Amino acid sequence: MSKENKAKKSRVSILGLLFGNRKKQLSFLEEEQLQSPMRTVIKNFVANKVAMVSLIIFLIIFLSVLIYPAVNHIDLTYQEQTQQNVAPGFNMMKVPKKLQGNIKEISVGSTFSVGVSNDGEVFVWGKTKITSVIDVKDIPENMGKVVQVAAGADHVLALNDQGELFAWGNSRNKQCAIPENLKTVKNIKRIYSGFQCSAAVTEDGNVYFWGNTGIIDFKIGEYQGQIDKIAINSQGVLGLTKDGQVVSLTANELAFSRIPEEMGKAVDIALTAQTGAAVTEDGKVYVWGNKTKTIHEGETLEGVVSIEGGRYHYTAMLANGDVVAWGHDDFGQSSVPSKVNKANVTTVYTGYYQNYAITDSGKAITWGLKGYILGTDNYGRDVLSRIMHGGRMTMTIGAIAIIISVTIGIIIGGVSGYFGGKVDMILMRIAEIVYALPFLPFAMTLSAIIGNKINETQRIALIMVILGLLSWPGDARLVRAQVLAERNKEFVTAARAVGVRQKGIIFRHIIPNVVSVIIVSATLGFASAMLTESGLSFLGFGVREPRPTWGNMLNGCQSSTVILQYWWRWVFPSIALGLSTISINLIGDGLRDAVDPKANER
Amino acid sequence: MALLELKDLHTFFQTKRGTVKAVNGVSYSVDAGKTLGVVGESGSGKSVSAMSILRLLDSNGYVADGEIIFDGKNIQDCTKKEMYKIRGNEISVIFQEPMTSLNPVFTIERQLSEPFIIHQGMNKKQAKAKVIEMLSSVKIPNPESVAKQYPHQLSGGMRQRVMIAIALACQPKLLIADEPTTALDVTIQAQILKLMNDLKKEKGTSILFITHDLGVINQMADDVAVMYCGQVVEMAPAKKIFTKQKYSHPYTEGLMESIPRLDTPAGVRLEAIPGAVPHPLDLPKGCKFAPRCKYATDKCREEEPTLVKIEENHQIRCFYPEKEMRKDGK
Repeated sequence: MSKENKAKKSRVSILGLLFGNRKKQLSFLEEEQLQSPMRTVIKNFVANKVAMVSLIIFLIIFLSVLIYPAVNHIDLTYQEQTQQNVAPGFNMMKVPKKLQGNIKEISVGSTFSVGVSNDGEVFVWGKTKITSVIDVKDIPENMGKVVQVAAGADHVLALNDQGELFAWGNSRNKQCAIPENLKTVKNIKRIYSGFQCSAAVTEDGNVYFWGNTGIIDFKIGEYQGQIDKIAINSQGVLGLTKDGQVVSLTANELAFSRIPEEMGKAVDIALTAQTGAAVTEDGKVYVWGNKTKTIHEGETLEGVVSIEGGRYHYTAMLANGDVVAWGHDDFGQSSVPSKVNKANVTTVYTGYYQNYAITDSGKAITWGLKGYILGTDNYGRDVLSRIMHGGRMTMTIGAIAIIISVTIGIIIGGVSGYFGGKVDMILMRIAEIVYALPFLPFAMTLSAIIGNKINETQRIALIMVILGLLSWPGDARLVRAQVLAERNKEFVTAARAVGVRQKGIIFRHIIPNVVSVIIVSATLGFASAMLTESGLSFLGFGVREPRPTWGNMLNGCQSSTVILQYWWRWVFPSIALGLSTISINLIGDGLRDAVDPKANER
Repeated sequence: MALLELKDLHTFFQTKRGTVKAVNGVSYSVDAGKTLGVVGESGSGKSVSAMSILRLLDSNGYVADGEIIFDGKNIQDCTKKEMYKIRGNEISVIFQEPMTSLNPVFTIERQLSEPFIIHQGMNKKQAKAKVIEMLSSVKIPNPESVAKQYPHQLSGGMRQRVMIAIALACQPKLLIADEPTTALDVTIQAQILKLMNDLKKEKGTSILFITHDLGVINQMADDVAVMYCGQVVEMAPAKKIFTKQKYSHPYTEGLMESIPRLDTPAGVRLEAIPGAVPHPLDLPKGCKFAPRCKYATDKCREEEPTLVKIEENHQIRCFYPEKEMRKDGK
């Protein structure tokens, strides 16, 4: 019974703390319960709606930047050139309704996909805007009945039933400029689009390659006329000859150029960014190139019929109709949904981070990267993840800086205020000297001088220390003024008369009386420390790339192109920074009003 | 034997406008188990002399001359460490303002346990038990719940009891009560005084009782020192002060006459001492009380009288200590 009551009581008080105690109507004979100073402050604060809303907003931001980085670790070296400046949204695998159920073929591009229906109509979906003027959604008219499509990183190839080739999208590296000698060739078997390059394989085993030959040094040599199919990634080309031999079609040596020799006759080949893979006649998979743990998992498979390569994963069809995927799974690209293997899958299309499994009814089941909630930046890094990790960094720096500054402030202010006289004079002059230092230029100079000699972690520590060491005078003055006001109060004399030592008097008797003011000042200081850190990082003197902070995320957004076209790269970090500093400031204001209600009336 | 002895104490304050001689040659002593009442108007140096004993003067104050002997030790020679051991342990103080003498942010328990922790090396748990014991010894009802309360939740009388409890925590040899009842109303005052008297009898604590209220002195003190302008002008057992005597200082006489009495006929005005206490930086020549003294002669205005032993236990600082003689002289 009593336990129940207790639980009820505590629940009421927690709720009361959050939503304000509903005042009980007291009869005029009853005296209102006297409250301790701390409770009064909390009650005043809770009654302040603006401050409470700010507190909730701040807590949401705080908890998310605390929890998200703890769950999702950041790979600082991560860069993905195929995912640069992707706009926010989740439509990368949103197959158009008109195409669904009528799919002939799908080709996966970097952030978009192209599909062709059984009627020969071409559809493009996903993040199709390549630059401000180029959009792969601008499909050329009068292509006739298209039978094949191939999506590259930023362009699309299409082949119609007349054997005519069409190309559109970004053509800066001539990847859309179909070679003259190909225009007369009518027996194109298969078309391919890669990273800034295109290729076509004819029925008689010839390969035509065009586009950025600076990146891929295409060299076919003796194999011209023997090629059955090829595979392209951002660095090279693999070819499969008609008699089942896997050959490298690149002049220079690459990670996946050393093709295993004992493999036997291959029937299908695929490439990821760093590895090559082949399926042999007897249904086995061979993977070679830069080894990672997961990319070789497929080698244990048996009865493999065909293989497709994404950016960092493979998808294979088995003879029994099952679909298996392995490799990196950071966007879920190798997690095949269970419904894929329940349905009758005829073909699987894989590229980059997306997968489409086409069922016998012509419908697509998709898995992999749908898109980025807040887009990506110029290195293809997820803006959300950087905001979260950057927020943690910004807040950690702000918090530690403010702890340093408040600690110094309390000690110097407390000693100065309590002892007065010469000690006070000297300490306050020092405080004034530090106060007079122009903060930003000084911090920039210090960071520039020391910052280049030390590593990244030391650099972050340096910024915390600089921020802390340059911002204590405000706290020291505040504490000193409060201590001056408190030290002549009777309770201090009383404490001395009891035999409390000076240290105890300052730090155990006086400071607790001024702690509310310190909390207010620290809260406001936290916001400004965060802003200063962001300012320093924005100017390039704080935390540097690739480690994210809100400030250096904005640093990368200074050009007008970014501001105009890639708004998500600066809008979201700015919102995060603005919202948290404003909310912290409002919390600080609310606390100040709660501590000193008279200040509000003025 | 005297527990505390002040010998010709001079306490000065260095201010921008000159040296304030707050205590100027004061000697008094408190015997073990006895109460010395120190009476005087505001600014007569009674509190300063007490603070000098504990060496708790403001930073601009210093003892210029004289000796303070406590329990055979010269306080002036004590190190800081020794002083910490004396304060609150052997000598403790009750202040005038119970409202502000307690730290507002701590519970009673925390403040009352401080002397136990500091001086008796107790841990918090042991101190906690002592706190309850002390609170009940000063007749605080419901000590367990009061211990958990903050100072602002208590009334003035309760707070003063807590102050007394803190002062008596370590059973000091000497209790300095610096106007302990001034801020309290009369009924509470009576309770507090009774409490102090009881505790004195019980524990044999000596009390240095500082007040401007002669009525209170009459209740509390064994001996009385009357102070004026930093000097003791009359020193006598309480009985002598409060009964009609042959000898007295005109200031004491004035103080006595300014007390309302039950037998004063209606319509008769109370006698007040004319004028005000002179400014400490501008003290008159001769007898300090001369400008306000109705018996003052030219001699009083020129020469300064010394404290003269008139009878056994009776000292007066006046050229004309005999009441009858003064009336004739005028």
